[in-house]
Amino acid sequence: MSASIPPIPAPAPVIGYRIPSLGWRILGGALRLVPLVVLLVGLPVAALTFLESQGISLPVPILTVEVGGIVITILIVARYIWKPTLAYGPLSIATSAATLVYLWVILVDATYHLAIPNANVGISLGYGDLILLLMVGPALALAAGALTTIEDIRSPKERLPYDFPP
Amino acid sequence: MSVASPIYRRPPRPPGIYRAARGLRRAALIALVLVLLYVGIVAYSAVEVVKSSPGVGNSSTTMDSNGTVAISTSFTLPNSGFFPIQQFALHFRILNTTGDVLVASTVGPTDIPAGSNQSIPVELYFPLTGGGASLLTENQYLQWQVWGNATYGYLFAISIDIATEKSWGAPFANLSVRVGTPSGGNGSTVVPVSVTFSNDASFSDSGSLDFQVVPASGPDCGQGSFVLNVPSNSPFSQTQNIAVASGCDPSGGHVAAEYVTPGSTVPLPSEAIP
Repeated sequence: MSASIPPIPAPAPVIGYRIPSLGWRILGGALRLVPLVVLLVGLPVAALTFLESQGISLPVPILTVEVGGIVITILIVARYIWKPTLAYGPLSIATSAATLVYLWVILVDATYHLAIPNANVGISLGYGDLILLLMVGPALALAAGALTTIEDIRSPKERLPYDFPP
Repeated sequence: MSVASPIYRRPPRPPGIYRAARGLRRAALIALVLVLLYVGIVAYSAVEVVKSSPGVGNSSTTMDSNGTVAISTSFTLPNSGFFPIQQFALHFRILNTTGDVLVASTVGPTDIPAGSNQSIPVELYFPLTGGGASLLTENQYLQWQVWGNATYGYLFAISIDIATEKSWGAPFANLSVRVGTPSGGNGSTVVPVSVTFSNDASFSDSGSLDFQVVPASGPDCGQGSFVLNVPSNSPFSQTQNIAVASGCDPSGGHVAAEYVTPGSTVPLPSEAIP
């Protein structure tokens, strides 16, 4: 007579994670800082300064671009450094929100007026639709940040094995 | 049939909320890259359109049959880019020296498909009555306000404003009609009528200049007609003796003249007789 043995349920997989030290994360953040500053501050300010030197009125004040670019850069770097912590979600939301506000400031007067001196010719370029389209990205990222925040509140460290696989 | 490796165990599927957040982040990145790529293509395409040299064709000015001066030209816009030029429209506003609006006209809107070379006809009609009456006899500078707008690459609204002054040459510049002293007798009295002007227009005056000598009171004194075939930028000066009714005294009256072509009759400013 043979007795049937009930199947033994497989144990829940335990996967680990390897979080880089704070020092490494700061180093990684500093390395990201360079291209971010070039992309978000250096290039736009250089372009606007060139336009201003040619006597062309600027679509956005240089100070707005500088402040906006620096704030977004700092938030992106901070989000990277604090990725393993509960601050990651709120920092993602803050980054996206700052980007949306920055784009909204540009959207308010999204018409570029170019007056050609001594020619009585004026050219206007409206780029409001482009800015609206650019806002799609940060809006999606904002939603992603909100989901991450909810996930971190409900199950802290649940995402770490996937964000920092061993 | 796949066999699970006893050594390698696939990591478990991430939780749904994590996958959703990751998906949104990837979608955001893809959206940003696509938008920037699209803007780059639109910018390149727009440069190609500008390099293809849009321009204004030859213009011709004619006296139209309905008593207006018609300026005909064309605007050529080769669209060598990748995107259509949508809702392209040109607006014209032309004012005379005193600020009267002579022409307010719009051409379009029209769509210019990508890869096409479209010529858009432009017809402007200047009235020769009311505020436009001075165009017949006074050389002047006209204020041209031209603006155009279009949408390019589905996203960018472009508009161009041009304000310029263009000289206008009158077809009967400095028109002068002089009535001389009546002479004659024996029941027939004639009066010399001299007409001088300069055709400073870009078109010739062809037709006739009909006139009536109107006294200050009473019936018309008489009438006559000059045959006109005055080329552009040429003077005209002729005198004609016309028979006038007996007892007619043109002093204090005026000469009413009109330019008659096969298709139209345009009244000219009346000239007072001293």
